[in-house]
Amino acid sequence: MNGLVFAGLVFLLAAGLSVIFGVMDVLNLAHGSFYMLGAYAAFAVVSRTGSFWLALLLGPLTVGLIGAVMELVLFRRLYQRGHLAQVLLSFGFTLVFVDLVRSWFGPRTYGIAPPPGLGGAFHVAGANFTKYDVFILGVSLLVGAALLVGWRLLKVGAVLRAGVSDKEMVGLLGIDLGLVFTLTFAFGAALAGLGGVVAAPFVAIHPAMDDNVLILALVVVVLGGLGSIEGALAGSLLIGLAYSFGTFYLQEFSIAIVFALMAAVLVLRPRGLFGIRT
Amino acid sequence: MSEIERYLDSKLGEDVDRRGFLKLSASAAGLAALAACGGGTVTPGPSGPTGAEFKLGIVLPYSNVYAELGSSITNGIQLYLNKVGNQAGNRKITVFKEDEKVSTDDAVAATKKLVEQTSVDMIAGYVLSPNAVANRDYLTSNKVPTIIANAGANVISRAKKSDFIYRTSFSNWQPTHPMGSYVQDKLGLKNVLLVYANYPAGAETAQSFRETYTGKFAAADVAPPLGYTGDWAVWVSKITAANPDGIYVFLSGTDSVGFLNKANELGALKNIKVTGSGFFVEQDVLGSVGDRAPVGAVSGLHWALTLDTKENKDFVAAYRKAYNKPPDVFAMDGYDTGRVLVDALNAVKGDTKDPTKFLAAIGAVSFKSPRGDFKFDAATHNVINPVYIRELVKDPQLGYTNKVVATVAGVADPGK
Amino acid sequence: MPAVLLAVLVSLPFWTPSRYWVSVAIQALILAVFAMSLDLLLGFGGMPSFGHAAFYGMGAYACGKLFPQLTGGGLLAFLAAGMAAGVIAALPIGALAVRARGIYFLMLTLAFAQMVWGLAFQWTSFTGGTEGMSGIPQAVPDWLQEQGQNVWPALRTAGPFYVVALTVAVLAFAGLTAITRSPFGRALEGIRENEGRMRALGYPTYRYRLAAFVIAAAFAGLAGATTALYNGYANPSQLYWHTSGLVLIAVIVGGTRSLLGAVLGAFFVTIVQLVISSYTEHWQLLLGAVFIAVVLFLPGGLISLGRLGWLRR
Repeated sequence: MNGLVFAGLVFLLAAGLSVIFGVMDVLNLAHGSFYMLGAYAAFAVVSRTGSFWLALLLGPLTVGLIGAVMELVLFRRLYQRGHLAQVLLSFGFTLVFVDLVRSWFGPRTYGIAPPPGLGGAFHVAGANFTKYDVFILGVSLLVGAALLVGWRLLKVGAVLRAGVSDKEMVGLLGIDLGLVFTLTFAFGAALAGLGGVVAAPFVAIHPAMDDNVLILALVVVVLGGLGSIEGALAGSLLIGLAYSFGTFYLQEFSIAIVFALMAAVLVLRPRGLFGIRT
Repeated sequence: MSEIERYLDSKLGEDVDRRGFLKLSASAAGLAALAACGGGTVTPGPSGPTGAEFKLGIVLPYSNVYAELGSSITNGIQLYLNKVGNQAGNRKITVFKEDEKVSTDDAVAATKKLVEQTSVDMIAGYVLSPNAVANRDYLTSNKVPTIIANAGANVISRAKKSDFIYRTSFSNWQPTHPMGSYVQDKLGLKNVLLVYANYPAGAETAQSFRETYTGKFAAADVAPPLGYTGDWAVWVSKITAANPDGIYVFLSGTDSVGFLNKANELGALKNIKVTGSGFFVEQDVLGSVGDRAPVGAVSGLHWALTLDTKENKDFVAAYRKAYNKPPDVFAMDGYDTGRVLVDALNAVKGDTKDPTKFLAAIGAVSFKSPRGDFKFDAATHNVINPVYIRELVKDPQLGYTNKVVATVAGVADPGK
Repeated sequence: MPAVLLAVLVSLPFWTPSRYWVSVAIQALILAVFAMSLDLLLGFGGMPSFGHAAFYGMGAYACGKLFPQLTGGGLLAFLAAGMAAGVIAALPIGALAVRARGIYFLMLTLAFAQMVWGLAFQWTSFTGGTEGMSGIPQAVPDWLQEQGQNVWPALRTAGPFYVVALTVAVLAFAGLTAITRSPFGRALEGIRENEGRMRALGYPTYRYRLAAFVIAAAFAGLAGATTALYNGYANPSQLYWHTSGLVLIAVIVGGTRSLLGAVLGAFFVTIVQLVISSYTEHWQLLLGAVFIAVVLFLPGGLISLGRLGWLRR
């Protein structure tokens, strides 16, 4: 169960990254920063208004907006230049965001409490779960379901999937790829921001919180297959469980195990579990 | 840059340091230029110090996850130096700061810059033990008097002790050592579970506990990796499964926050006596966990905010006035670091040409600190700490804070 | 251009205003070797590795773990151990990783490197855990130590070690240049451009790529050993993805198709990092802005500045 909750959180991060990767072929190392910004947004909203639900709304919106601006102003120029240029650009952004956050909020570590109604735990089948755990799972599943539906069933999904396989064709069909890209990037960022807001009541909110999650999200996305929501779900599950069990049973090797798993999957299935891209 | 500084001051009302740092840097750059020309005698007005400038180099984290500690320690040092007018032994004391960052290579580079380019007369610093240990040989071979203001690795006072390095903070062994027998004798715990981050400091703490606790352990130690980012419920469930009557916790910063938040929500700590090394309920953690603080937790540390002595009350009041928030133990360690420097410099009347004499003066300092009597142990160069046994309470005015319930005086690291 | 740089570097100990700049130069030279090794892989082989720090760190840890045994062999023993560690680690990792291309290779190398980091970080009994291993001697040969002290007394130990670092860097540059200009190097570039065609021509592309991977790892291990000797320790942060990221940044900033570019990038990154943090607490903001600016306005990297008006390579 513990692995599941963690998997849910990782999924929120990985989903956005996978979509951005898959649709736009953009490697964005600042994705962890979006998570961090979401958490800080939650802190800012909750400490001012006391409402977690407002934070749940405003956080992802704000981060999505930041993402949209980033894409419009900067990333757009680098699509031709390939992954390495994107690495440099997004790495630069992680530094900028960390510094800005630290300047605005200070070096202190913050925290917020879960909203009333979601606090406390309950006892099921001999184990304890917090109500908030259920909330996290619920949000992740909801988002996952919505994404799957959108991806597979709705027109927007078809456009994006087409964009994943064949950008040129989509452009030729008269669809404004630029708009699609901006919205996709913003959406991916907003998802990460949502992850940040959702995680906020239980993690320490501080200027270096983007670090670990970024790597995990990258692992999951590549493991699952770029541009695949099912892949992101499967990958999150795998990594969430591996990390939890690894730390539980094989303490000294828990981190190594997670990455060994990633390496193993990639060696056996280089496209990832559900990868589409050639 | 000055606009940002003004904005920060108005917004946060804390950390006068930032603005001060820039002013200091500017004047330091000027002074450094003077000094580089050879000699570097500072001659301000007739009422000021007339000796050569004394340069203190501080290496602490100002970015990344430990920035809060770096900021606290610096505030503490600066507070004491400001108190004595930034001078001692007829010399003006100028502070130069470099960011320890996180990686050891950066900490070493920062140290080298202060020693080689700024030519500091003394180094104070290091939050992270690996960074302190990595710099130890360099500082010793370059004969730089050094004060460790935080890093707790036992080895600094033992195998890697150095003539040039003194520690004003603590060794990992110290705060925990009396706790083993305390939880057993005074709290009556018979079946304890150890919870600590799985890295050398955690291991050293566990070992220290085992030296004085002779009771049973409920299960194997619960040792999450340092900086664990997964679901803390994994570890909390181990505690619940072991069903101890008490736990002894050594987690700090973000680890402690993650642990306490989850444990509290799960109700896992309701029937367990929570004890630990003071860091897991120190100010930085309390500020983050809010109402999920483990009220009633008993912890050992060489200080407490509520310590009822004149020195501490004065210190706390002065710190609040300068920085708009209460100090934490890190700031207190910084404050004492500043005092050690000032007292030593006064003792040698500003003459630091002979490092042996200066070091001897450092080693000989003795004063009443906010923590109590401050003295170095000559054998280990580590401060002899009192250990205050404190209980976490919710005070109507102070909020969640630790109240002292017992004192163990004169705990000195064994040096072996 | 290389000649000018070399002249500046060789003469540095004589005109440096303080030994600090020699220290900075040593750091930059070590990063330069590290960057050049990655450039072989990335720039010439078209294999973007996000895990190159693994071999750098292995070089350092080899020195850390074996220094009691290596001390007898002196400086060369340590450096050789570093290179060997890189090779030994690269063979299994490369055998698996080199099968992948592009973004998958990037992620696979990241995964392997983080695995190695995880071991170093958590396996305290074998690797020293978060504290790492310390006490590694500088291993500068006595005759060099004496000469250095005599010629540059103000530089103390930095002077003699600078000679070591500079020599290692120059030899690495020469070695890697020779490799890139050899038939092997040409074939590697051919594989980067069009692997299918090279295979059709009969080249065993997998073996070429693996060889490039291992060679790059050897030189990374060399850089790692050098840094371990210089600083006296090996530490998990040397294996962390930030280190892989930093050397990748250095190569990209310098210009990926050129070894000299890698050197320039390494110097740029080292100096910028050190200089910026002196003047402001907001070094991350400025550093980030610098990277962003370089990406946007210098697509060819720093080396492209030198090419303006010169013959195209």
